Amino acid sequence: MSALALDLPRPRRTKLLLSPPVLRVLSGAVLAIVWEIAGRKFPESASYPSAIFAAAYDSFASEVAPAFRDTLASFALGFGVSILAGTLIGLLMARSRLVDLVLNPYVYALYATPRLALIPVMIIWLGVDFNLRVGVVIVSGIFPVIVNTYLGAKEVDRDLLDVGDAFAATSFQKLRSIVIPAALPFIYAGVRIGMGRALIGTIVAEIEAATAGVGKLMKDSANALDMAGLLVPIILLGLLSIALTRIIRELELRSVMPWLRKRSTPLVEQGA
Amino acid sequence: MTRGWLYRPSGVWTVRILTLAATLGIWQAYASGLNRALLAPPSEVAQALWEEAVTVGNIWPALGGSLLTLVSGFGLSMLVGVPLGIAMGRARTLEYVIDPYVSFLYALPHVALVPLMVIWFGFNLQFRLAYVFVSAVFPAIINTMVGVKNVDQELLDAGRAFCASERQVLRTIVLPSAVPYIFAGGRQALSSAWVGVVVSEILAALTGVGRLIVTYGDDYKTANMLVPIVVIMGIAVAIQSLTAKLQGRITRWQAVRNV
Repeated sequence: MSALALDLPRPRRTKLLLSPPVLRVLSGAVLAIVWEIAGRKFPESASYPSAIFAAAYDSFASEVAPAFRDTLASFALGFGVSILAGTLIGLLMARSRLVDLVLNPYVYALYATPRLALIPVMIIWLGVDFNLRVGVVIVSGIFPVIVNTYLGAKEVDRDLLDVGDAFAATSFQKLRSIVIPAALPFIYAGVRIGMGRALIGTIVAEIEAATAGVGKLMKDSANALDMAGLLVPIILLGLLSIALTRIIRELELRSVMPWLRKRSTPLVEQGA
Repeated sequence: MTRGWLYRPSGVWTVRILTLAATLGIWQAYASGLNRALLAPPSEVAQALWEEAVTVGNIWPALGGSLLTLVSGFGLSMLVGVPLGIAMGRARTLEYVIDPYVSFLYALPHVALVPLMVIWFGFNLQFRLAYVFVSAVFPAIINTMVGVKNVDQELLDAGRAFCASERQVLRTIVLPSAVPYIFAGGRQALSSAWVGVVVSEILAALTGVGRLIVTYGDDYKTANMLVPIVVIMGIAVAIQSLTAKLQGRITRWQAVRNV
């Protein structure tokens, strides 16, 4: 078939059938049906959609909701600290050469390290409870924020800073009205990446130490070979992560200067 | 602003060495007052490193196993991810059908799949490979797809005007211009794959450097425990910096800014 044929107008019915929403719904339906049929044959290996819905309905109020509340509490505290401290450290590194030289190698080394390797050490230091989870969230979430803030604040237009100097702006004024607005898209990128990592950190800490939260719920279901019960939190976690990404994106669109939007949004990145 | 001594190499290295010395000094002083089970001083960590690497050599078989998992898992995800990304970038229909699942699985914290995968694959190499695959395949797919979709439309039109077949378009237009993206995806995939190796070993394996941390941690041998951690960090940093160099060499026109 020549490539030219692709450009011929398609009959309307085909066009409707191939439109994105229709395709998605159709393929989703096909997948659900195949899964349902296959799952009923081998329920112990992957459960099936109707059983998952039933499990979600049964256990939502009693187990799933409290588990997510525990997880989100440590996530919110730890990630809040990561954003505040991370932005602060990133700005300091970008604005002070001395701080930059002192911290740079350590920040980059820790940024690249799988932070989960530190969990066994952190269990020894922080125990297995709330402190551990918050600690793991901070260690997971803070470095992307630091690194992106630092890069963004370094990228600030030299000319703008010169204008600030020419008008005798104080360091604080330059920071507030020049550096931070220019670095904001980068900071948001860091927050987005950090969010993914922090969420992973919470779950791993909970699976490892298993005292509370979604990770413990999953581990318990897995130990009981309760496949449907295991898939409920997995699916909810995926949805939660998508929702949080959307919220951060929305905040970004609202607070970043219009002419800086979308520029230099880095390629998606995630890691544990 | 004049650039002071902090911008000269001598100044830079003075600060770096002083920082390192201060960090180690404080750590040594702080740790000697503590129980060994909480934190070992750097002198003991160095001793443990010597032990692990030379006299006893515990680290080598573990590291070999981990690297084998890394390489095979990464290879597998590139083999699947790049062609799938190209297909999704070229065929709209396929993109619409697969994209929601790719996005969902990419957004999902992969660790959430560990309990499920343990049930499916057990505690063996298969489990680790599968986990590394899940960690690494999505950056490969997504970056390849973005690269393929970002191909200059005028080049594609030119190809079409000359009646190029899909295969010719792919080989001479799409692939060459998608290479930087595929490479960037590969870098991310390799980093994520290393994280995947370590996580899978810590959570559910009986071998590898990740397991070594857990074993020593359970025995409260904090000095020995820090050795695999340092090794893991070293490999992570090496992956980042070596691939950045390689990327700069292969795609010179695309400056590598980020790390």
